[in-house]
Parts: sequence; structure tokens; C-alpha cells
Amino acid sequence: MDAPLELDFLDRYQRQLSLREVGLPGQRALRAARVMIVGLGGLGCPALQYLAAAGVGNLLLVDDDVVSLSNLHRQTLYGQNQIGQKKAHAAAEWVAGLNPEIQITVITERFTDLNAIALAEQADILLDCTDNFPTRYAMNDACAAVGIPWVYGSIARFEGQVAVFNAARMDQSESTVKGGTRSLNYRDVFPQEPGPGEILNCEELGVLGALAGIIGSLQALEVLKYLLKIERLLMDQLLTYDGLNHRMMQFQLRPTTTSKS
Amino acid sequence: MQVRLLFFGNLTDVMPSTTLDWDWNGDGKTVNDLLNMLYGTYPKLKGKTFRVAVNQQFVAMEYGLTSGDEVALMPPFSGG
Repeated sequence: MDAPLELDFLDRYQRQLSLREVGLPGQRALRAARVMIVGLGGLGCPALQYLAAAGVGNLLLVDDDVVSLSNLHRQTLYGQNQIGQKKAHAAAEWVAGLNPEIQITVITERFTDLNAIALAEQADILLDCTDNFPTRYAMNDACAAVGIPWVYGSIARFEGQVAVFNAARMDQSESTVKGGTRSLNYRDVFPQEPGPGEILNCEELGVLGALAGIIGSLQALEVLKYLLKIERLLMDQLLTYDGLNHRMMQFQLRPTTTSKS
Repeated sequence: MQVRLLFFGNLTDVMPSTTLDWDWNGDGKTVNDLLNMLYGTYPKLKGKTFRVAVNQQFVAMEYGLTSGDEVALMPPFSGG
């Protein structure tokens, strides 16, 4: 089983190495990257699967929750025999089974504004697979402070939203026109946190796993494109997907001008 | 003036459909004016958190509309 690492590496990733956008330099960049996934639920499971499979070399898994039976209709990483286990540990086991070379850091803490900066400093990019607004705003502010991007994802019944916030512009000449050297962030889109109970999550609204799979996969794709330096990211844009009508739209973001009514 | 309205996320719970063609005569031409008209007919829309995008660009409340614009009301989503 101990074939030379190089041959195994090339064989494992052969189907993506042939992409012009990947190649050996891209694959090495993925292996060197540190990606933190916050939330290992409906979005986190598909996102983790595709990031690990693509060869991201360092995965930091943040979730303090445990696997429950009601997760299994959409969180397909987990088995019935893992009910009661911490999701971060269960997910780490799955990654290790796929590829023992991946460095996994298990963080069974809740991501809050108390630990956000200390956590964000450990990664090159964060993936928002959370299900509540306070965590998203904490993530946004920490990434802005640390100077790293994060890939936003959220769902509501059959709809989803995806964006890449706070990413450095590859073309710095756009900075003046587009309001800065980094893409806009979550507070530029939604400066006002909704009131409690105004906007419901999956537990309250319901969701089909396939929709979560689509949005989580879109998020993983944006992370990979970022790491591969592909210059077509959802920067300064909000992508929406409507799974009932299969309609995708991309909305261009501008900073909000504050007009208090 | 006529615009086509699109509603997303939780707003579809308080509107009769996900799209609505809205006609009006009169002076109001900004996004703010449009929203105030909508609140009159759909009071449950008032107080909801959302951004407005015109022809797929997010705009400020003072933005001046043109007949034929597509106006999307976009709330944040929560689930994950």
C-alpha cells in the first residue's frame, strides 16, 4: 500500500489535473491551502465532500453540534451509527477515510464573536455553512479584520444565495471604481440584521437535502476557484438559485448609501 | 409607469405570488415611492428586512425608476 506519494497523488487527481485551470501548480496550491468550514450541516456536508475530494490539504472543521436522526435526511456525510457523535469528529472520520493525507483540525466550538478572530487567523478562507445571522455577521467582521475572504451560503426552502465576500481584487485597477481593494462584504449587502424570528431557518421552514447539496456544492466550487486563482468569482455579486423554477440570477452589489427612514 | 416586481425568500410568504406587475400614474418615481405604494396594498411587507435591486443591480432607496424596470426585493436567507 505504500506506493510513492507522488504517483498516488497524480493518480488520485488525474481527472482534474488535465483541466487547464488546475494542472500541477493548481493542485499544489490546493494541497497547501487552509480552508475553515464553519457549520457541518446541510451546506457543510456537501461542501466538505467536494473540498476534501479535490485535494484541499488543510481542513479546519468548526461545529459544536452532535449528529441527530433529523439531520440524516440532508446531512449525508453521517451514518445512523454516528448519532450522538460530535459532527466535527464524524466529519473528520469521513475525510480520513477518503484521504488520510489531508490535515484535519477538529474544533468542537461554536463560532462566535468571542473566538471569531482567533479562528479566522488559522485559515486562508472561510466557508459559511451556518444557519443563523449572528454567526454570519461575526464571520464577516472577523474576516474583514484578518483580511481573508469568506464564501457565504444560505438557503430558504427551495432557494439559495451564494457570494464571495472580502476577497482581494485580482485586478487592482478596479479598486477605485469598485470601492476598495477587496470585494464587498455581507454588511454592504445586508447592513441591518433581521429581527429575531423574522427569517426562519431549515428547521422551521423545511428543506430538501438536494437543494442544500446544490448550494453547498456551489460554495465549494467558489472556494476551489479562489484557491486556483480563477478570475471569475462571485465578487461584488449575489447569486440566487430558485430550485423550483431552476432560475439562477446574479445581482450586482454596490455599497449601501445609508438613508435612514 | 410599469415595473415588474420579483420577491424572494420569506417575502413570498406575504405576497400573493413571486412576481407582480405594478402600474401607476402619478409623480412617485423612486424605489422609496414604489415601496410606500406597495406597503399600502400589502401591509405585511412593511418592516421586513430586504434590499432592492433594479435590473439586477442593488440600489439605494432614492434610486429613480424607469418604466419597464425589473425590481427585486431581496431578503437575506438564514438556513444552512
